[in-house]
Amino acid sequence: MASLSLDNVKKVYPGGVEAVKGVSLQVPDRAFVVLVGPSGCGKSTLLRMIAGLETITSGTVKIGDRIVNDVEPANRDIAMVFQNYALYPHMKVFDNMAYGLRNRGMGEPEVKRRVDEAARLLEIGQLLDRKPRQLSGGQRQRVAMGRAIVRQPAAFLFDEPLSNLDAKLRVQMRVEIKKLQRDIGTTSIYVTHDQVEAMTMADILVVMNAGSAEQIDTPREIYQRPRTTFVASFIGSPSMNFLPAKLTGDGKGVIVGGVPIALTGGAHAAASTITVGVRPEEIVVGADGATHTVAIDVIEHLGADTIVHGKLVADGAAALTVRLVGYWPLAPGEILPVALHARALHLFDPTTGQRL
Amino acid sequence: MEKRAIYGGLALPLLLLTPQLLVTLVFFYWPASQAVWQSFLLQDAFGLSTRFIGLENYRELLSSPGYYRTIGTTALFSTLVTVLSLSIALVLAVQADKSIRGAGIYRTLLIWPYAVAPAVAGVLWLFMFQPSLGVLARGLRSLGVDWNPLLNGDHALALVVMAATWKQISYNFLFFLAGLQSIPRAVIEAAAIDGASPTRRFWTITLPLLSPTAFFLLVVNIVYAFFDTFGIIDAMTSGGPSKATETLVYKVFFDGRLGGDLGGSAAQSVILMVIVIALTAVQFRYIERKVAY
Ligand SMILES: Nc1ncnc2c1ncn2[C@@H]1O[C@H](COP(=O)(O)OP(=O)(O)O)[C@@H](O)[C@H]1O
Ligand SMILES: [Mg+2]
Repeated sequence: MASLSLDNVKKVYPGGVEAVKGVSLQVPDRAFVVLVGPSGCGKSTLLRMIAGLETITSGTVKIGDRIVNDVEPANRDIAMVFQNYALYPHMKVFDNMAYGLRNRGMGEPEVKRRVDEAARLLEIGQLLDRKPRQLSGGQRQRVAMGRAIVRQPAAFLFDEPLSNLDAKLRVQMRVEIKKLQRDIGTTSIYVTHDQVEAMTMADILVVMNAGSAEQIDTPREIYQRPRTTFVASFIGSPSMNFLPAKLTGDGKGVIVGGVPIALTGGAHAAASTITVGVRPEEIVVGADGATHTVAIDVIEHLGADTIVHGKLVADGAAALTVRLVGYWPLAPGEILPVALHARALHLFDPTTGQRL
Repeated sequence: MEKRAIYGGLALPLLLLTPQLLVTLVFFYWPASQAVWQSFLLQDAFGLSTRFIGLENYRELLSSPGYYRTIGTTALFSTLVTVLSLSIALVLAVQADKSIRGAGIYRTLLIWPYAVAPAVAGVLWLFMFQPSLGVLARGLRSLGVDWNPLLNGDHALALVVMAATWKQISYNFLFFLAGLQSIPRAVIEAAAIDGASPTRRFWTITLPLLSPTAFFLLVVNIVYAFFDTFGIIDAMTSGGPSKATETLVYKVFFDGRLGGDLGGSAAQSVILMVIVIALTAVQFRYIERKVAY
């Protein structure tokens, strides 16, 4: 077990693709860090540099107190779980798990003890004699986890390990991986494009965009105080609404859809144009205290929730999504009175996307 | 898993199969049955009279020491050609695979000329080892080796083995390369993280995953060495000197065509045919069971 630190790590692929543009990150011992971001933002590249599968163009990667930039993957004391599991197809499950231990010259009794221990932990004891092709996706996933666990490495690296599973299994494995990591306490870095996985699993969440880490924080902080419009829109489902707005003359209020709303915090630059963000679940619906009205376009009944897609009835007619708890008997074309409260508003600079 | 199309009757499938069946009948079953029939006959040298003699041709063949010598030569020749062409092609393919990992079809196409070149170069081998004029022949002689495949049986055998091997390398290379490219990169990377050195990775991961390809090629190469090397042997040594490079297939030709022993030659081809059928059967058996993972 070890801490892990990245200092201004960059990756330029041959051909000039700048996949990672200087990421710095401190991972304390035993932490579970999730790298999340859209496809192609450089998550895998960053993880693979930590694993030693890609060279590091510049910057340093430290595992424990050791700079590992030029250390072979085998000697970095890490274990990795791949998206397609990458099990050795010709070996039985037992041998898959034992391979890394045998390569390091461990005696057979100890190998057996470790494999059995991991198999018990993952409840795959009855699969040890099978070949990978005789396993279901979920079972392969467990074997891949087992192969990482037996090594007792300083860190686990996961590259979208659940993305090949069906939705139900994904939820189940997500909970199991998190629990397992907490039980054995191994420092973990987990790559995913799924924001639910990111929010639920992370101790520290890194939101990546186009090769940069846009925000590194706890999931709660990232949800409540997203630092950029990108982070705000990427985390949360349905996505945060963004509305064009203008600050009032004294800078202490904001005018959204023609309606002034008093802000609670300090004053901002007067009369400037800004972007206001508001999460669909933080819009209050009801005639009492309503500030705006929404013309309903489409309704989605999710069972537990009702999602309303509509437009603000105001000039500009900005699109607005509202999430309501429970079943709401609404119809397209109806007008819904809503309230935008000051404490639910996130203010962003419309040109830089930075939080104000 | 059942993969079976349902047809209403027998007429349509038969009709659709007719061309295939005709080709097989005309070009395989007809000559094959002729050979079997011939092998029971004794024909005089001028082809004027024939006589049914049952298994006499086989008895004579199996009691002649020359036939066993030819079997020995064939076994040695085939083993050398198969082992050499497989291992050289594998080494080349592994090198090529390293430099084109993950580069897709485009680079694979670029490799083709390299793969085909050895076949062209096979012709050059002949010139290079030609005893009186060849560059390498003279080089060998200057090293004290009295290189003379025209007189020395071992030299002649070495020469046809080299030429036959060379001709087969490109074919093996392409299959090995395709096999290597189809091994998922992540599996190799997982092994690297699992602490396996490149050499160990090759023996414990790459080679086992390549074994279906290797086994397929093994059978193809044995069949090649047995049958398709007739041209090389005929052109380079004509089975000589004093039958040192005479393989089974060459003997069929030599005895039947030049020696006029049609019955004995037919008996030999029947035996060869049995060998091919056995090899093919082995291939179908194993490729689906033991070697697949
Ligand atoms: N081997 C490579 N050579 C060149 N470019 C690559 C290579 N691997 C990835 N890239 C590029 O680097 C960027 C980041 O890729 P990746 O790290 O795989 O993204 P992610 O895992 O976040 O989806 C992408 O634009 C991708 O096309
Ligand atoms: Mg990726």
